Amino acid sequence: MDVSAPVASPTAQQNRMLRRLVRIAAVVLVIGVALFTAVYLVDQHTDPGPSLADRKVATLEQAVRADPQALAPRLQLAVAYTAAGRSKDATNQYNEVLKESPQNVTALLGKADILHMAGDTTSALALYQQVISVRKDGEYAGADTELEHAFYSVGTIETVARHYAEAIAALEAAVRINGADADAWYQLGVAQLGAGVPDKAVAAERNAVAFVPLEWADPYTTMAQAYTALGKTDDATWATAMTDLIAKRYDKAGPALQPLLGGPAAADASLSLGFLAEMQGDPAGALAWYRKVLALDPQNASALSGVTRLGGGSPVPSASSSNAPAGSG
Amino acid sequence: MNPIEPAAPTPETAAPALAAADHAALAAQAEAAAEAEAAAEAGLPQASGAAAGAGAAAAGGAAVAEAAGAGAAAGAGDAAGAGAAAAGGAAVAEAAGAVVAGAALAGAVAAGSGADGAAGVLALEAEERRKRRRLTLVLALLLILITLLTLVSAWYLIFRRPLTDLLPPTSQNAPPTYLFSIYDASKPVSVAVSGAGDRVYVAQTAGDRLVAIFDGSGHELGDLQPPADNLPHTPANVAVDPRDGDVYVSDRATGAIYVYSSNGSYLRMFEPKVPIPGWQPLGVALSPTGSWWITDLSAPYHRIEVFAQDGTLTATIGAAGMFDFPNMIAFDATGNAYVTDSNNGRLVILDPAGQVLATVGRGAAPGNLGLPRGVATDPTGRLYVVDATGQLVHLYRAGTSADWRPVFINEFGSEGIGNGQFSFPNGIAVDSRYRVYVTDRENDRVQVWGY
Repeated sequence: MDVSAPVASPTAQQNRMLRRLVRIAAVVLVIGVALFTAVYLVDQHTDPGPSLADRKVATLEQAVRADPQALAPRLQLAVAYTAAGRSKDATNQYNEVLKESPQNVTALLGKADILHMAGDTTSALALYQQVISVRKDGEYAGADTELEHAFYSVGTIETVARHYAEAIAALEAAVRINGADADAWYQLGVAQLGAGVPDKAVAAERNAVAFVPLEWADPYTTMAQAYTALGKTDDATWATAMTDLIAKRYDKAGPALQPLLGGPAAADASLSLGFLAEMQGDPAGALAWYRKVLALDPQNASALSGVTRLGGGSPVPSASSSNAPAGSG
Repeated sequence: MNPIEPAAPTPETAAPALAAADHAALAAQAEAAAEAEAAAEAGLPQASGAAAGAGAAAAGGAAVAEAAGAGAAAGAGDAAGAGAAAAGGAAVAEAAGAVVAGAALAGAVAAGSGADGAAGVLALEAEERRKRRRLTLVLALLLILITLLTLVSAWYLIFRRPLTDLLPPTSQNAPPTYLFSIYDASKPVSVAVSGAGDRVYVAQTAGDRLVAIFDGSGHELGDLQPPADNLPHTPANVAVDPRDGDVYVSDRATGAIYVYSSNGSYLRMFEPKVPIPGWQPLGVALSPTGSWWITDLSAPYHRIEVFAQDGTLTATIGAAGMFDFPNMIAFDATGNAYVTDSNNGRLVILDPAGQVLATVGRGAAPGNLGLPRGVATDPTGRLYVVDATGQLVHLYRAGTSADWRPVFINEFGSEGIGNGQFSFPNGIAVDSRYRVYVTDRENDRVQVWGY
């Protein structure tokens, strides 16, 4: 026996073999994971290709090249550029249209909107005013949505500039054309609050939230300020609670509303508590609150709507089924 | 006894060795090499082995050293075995035996550093054993992972579903993400898809007003041509029979449902066995029990009719005024039906017999609906409802017998023309891979979403 040559113990030999196996298994696992990941990603992924906006732009660019004198494709291209965030290209197209047709309202409004968005309110205001002068005496001025848009934009710019009288005039013109424009009603409320007529501001904001009672906190913020200015603390508390409700701060809204139930804002508070119950998944509780509102204010549209949709006296009959014989349908 | 084999510890050998241990401890270490040499001179068989035994004993404890010292009478092999036993048991004895077998130790002893070398070897051996345990564990873990990977890969290659499907259904609350769009559809209102997702049928209400057939990647393959009868055809709703892949197309304008094979050949018309005057079929869905549920907008009031395969009317659901443009129907695994009662702004949940279980309507709660149109379910229990005016798709989990109202879990989509944005979405379908197809009507496309 050669005692001078080092010989590994059986354990060491086993370990060497185990190490080899571990290495092989690790390599197999890594390769397997990599392969599976690659197959999975390739199989699950599909190249989305050009976006719809890019596709529209490409089609319209082709149309403009085919007939450079035609204004309609240029206007459509300008709209597509705007949608794709290419404001400069859009403005170039509007300018091309305005060269041919200086009174083109679509081009004037499109260019004005881009300037307004970019913060150049002076230039934008001039273009909106131009639209108003072109359209205000038109045959369909009372239903002209482009004219309404121009009035609304003028009102917004003038409100920010604190030219409240001009703003109110423009916004009142806007809501005369489209009484369902919640944005215009909201801006009108802001302008009236700025002009120092908080009671009118409250009325305007009430109109604004009539269409979107639960998705938009800004009108309630203005309303709270207006009620505070009028010294109506309960109403101001209710309006502030509504901003909390919309922001899903239920823990603030609920406790703020409860104390109002015995005061002048009881109907509003009850309605809000109904909304709160509904938002928290308690339709039975909501229904009870809506009924309380109707006891205080039988014509309250939001409460009537709530009772209807929650099945408490719905005009839609409760569903029934008839397993009718063949042909009876 | 062969000294290279470990001796089994016995009371007779262990006791004296233990008794002498303390006295011999120091001497043993210092004299280990000399003792080994003495053992060799005594003519003991395999002296180097005996010395090794002594060395091992010195490393492991004084008792072994003493045993080695007494080795002239007892035999170095036995002494080594006794020492090993005294040092702590069979395991160490075995180790010692193994070490004895090692020529490396003999070399170390011969070099005059036997005691320290043997101690190191024992430590090394113990370390090797620890390594063996660790390596065995690592190997077992790797083998488990490889097995898992193999199973997951096989599952995926068979079903091609997203990996999230392996999670418990109740944890699958995330919305799908936008994948791609099928463009060039003209005002598409309804979509159906084959189980494997390789055929997508899109009902178009503008352009040629046909049901277009696309492959799973969005390449148009052809269309479904209605019978040449000179009637003003407009497909309203399209459904696939999962049993044979046949495609059912409702044509409200002509009061008919046309049936096509999966490759687009016209087969026949589905008709009520007893004609229904002014029949206006809109939504078409096959129940799990094999009956056709069809929403009918004809006079005297909007309703759902249930037909057997041969067109026999077996039930009518909905009293006068209950439904206002019931649009589409989907079923869950239990056979409950989900009907979008569009102009009432609600989703009506019916049991298989047509009794109302619950509704989801307009209101303030999350997941409440504006103008519900398309509806679909998937095997995980997710329920998809398209809200055309909300410009999005609501995602619910089906309710339970405790409360049949679906539980809102998420939503996806917003208004616009970008990827994942809608302009009046309408129809919806889900394939077996959980790809979600939504007709984006005013954007003239079908969006495909996935998990």
